[in-house]
Amino acid sequence: MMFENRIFPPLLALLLVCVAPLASADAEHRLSGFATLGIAMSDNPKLVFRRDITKDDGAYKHSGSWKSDSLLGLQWQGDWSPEWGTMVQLVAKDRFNNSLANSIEWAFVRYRPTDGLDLRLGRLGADVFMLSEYRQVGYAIPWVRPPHDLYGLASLYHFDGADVTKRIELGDAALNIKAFYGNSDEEYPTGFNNDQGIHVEFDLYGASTSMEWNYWKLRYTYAKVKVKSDHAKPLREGLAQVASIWPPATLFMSELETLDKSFDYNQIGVNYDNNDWWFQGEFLQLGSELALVASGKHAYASLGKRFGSLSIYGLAGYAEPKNPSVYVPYPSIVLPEPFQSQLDYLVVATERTLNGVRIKQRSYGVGARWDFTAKMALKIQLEQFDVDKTGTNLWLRTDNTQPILADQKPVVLSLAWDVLF
Amino acid sequence: MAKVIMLIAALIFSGQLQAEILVIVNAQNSVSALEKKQVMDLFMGRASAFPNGQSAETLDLKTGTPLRAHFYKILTGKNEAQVDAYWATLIFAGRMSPPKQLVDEQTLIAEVARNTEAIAYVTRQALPKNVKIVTELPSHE
Repeated sequence: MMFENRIFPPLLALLLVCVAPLASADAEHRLSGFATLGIAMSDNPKLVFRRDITKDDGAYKHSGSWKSDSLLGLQWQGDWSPEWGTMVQLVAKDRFNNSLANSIEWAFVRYRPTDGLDLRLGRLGADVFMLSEYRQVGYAIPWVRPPHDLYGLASLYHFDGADVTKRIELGDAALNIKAFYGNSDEEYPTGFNNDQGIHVEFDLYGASTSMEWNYWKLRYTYAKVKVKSDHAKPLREGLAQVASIWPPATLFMSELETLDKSFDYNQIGVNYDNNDWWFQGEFLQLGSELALVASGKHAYASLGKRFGSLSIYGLAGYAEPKNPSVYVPYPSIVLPEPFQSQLDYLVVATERTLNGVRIKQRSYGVGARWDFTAKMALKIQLEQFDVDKTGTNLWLRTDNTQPILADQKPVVLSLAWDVLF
Repeated sequence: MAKVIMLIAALIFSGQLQAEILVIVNAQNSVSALEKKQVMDLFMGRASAFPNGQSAETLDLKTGTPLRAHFYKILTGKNEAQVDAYWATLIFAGRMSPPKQLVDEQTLIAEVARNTEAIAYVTRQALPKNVKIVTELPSHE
């Protein structure tokens, strides 16, 4: 791994600030930012709505959540010359594992040897999906938040590494080709406000192409992510101890391996905007060697119309796992206590771990955005989710000890106030 | 009567001329003319250099200035909120630096007169010698 040390980006940023006075006198500095104050409300008592799977808190019946969407971003951009630029972006928001190092969304040096060719090194946005690079900037997107069925899973915000972008002019169209490589890590909570989580490290590489032509924007990305941590190790060790009395344990042990196993994204996106009507759709196929990252399809489509400073839209999405639920057979033997309880616990934990990663849901929604004054927008969005009982991973359970035995249909109402400054 | 009609016609005509937007660069800039699309590429962050490869610095007016709204509407068909939202996608992705915003047209002209990389837009008016026009945008799309 290139930059295993997590303090690399902060150090880089500090270094940049130190070398700044040495750079040319023509340097331009810009401070800018974005903020969202949002509230999400849900009518479902069992499932907790969260913006994405990095959150351990959210909205459920009689308990709206300010933490889901509210955030504050600050950015410093230094242009030292036409060739050299630097940028640091900090985002303050509710995180499962909040720290200054985690709050640094990007911190990089950009070198532009010629117009249309950019090389960047440092902490960079993981540019895998259509909204990846500005998914936290509420003002930049038409909805309250990036559509849940796809972006709820897309937890890679940034990586430490490098990317190169080339722009090619094709008549009236512009083609952008980007390749990236780096590594990242993320802490995933395992329950609702229970302070427990798993730490996952990744290496990733990929390439994206996007084309802009008149009112159209088309995009395709391939990204491959290799997991560099063995985060199911405790469970696998537990299974190893019972393998002789519960033979299926051997199979589940190998399925729970994560180290050096990969998953990949194939993403296509389309956007049309004639300044009156707009449409955006995105489709993701996730292929995975890991049982702990469920292969599946995720997609959404949204159509909107502008009436001056008001925009209304509808959106729909779905997420569907590729494979059926894993069947974990119950051991037929009876052991003396406390061994029986321990074995029972292992069986339940195995079943929960293997099937808990599944995401199976559909959603339908409507919303409106009002640009009531310069650089400020108010949004309201109402969505109905059909969450299959076997695919609730984008949600948390209000009671982590109780399985979800029936399909759920939460209705989520969201309000947001987005600001640019 | 004919005089009155001519006067009215002249007023209407000059009114239209008044509303025209001039895109200006420094007189020493080797670029002599730009197409509307090339101006759009620069002001919408798709290009950071003039077509001849010389680096460009776009100058803008503050958000909320009527001329700014008019300029982007003619250039892109977008209202200011759309333009600001579009630029937010580039700025906060760290892809491009936004045009530098100056307070009024006279400041824009003074900066273009000083800076050989600068490009800006102003309403039709008398310009100093060290500033030249690279394109004119009609008042209506």
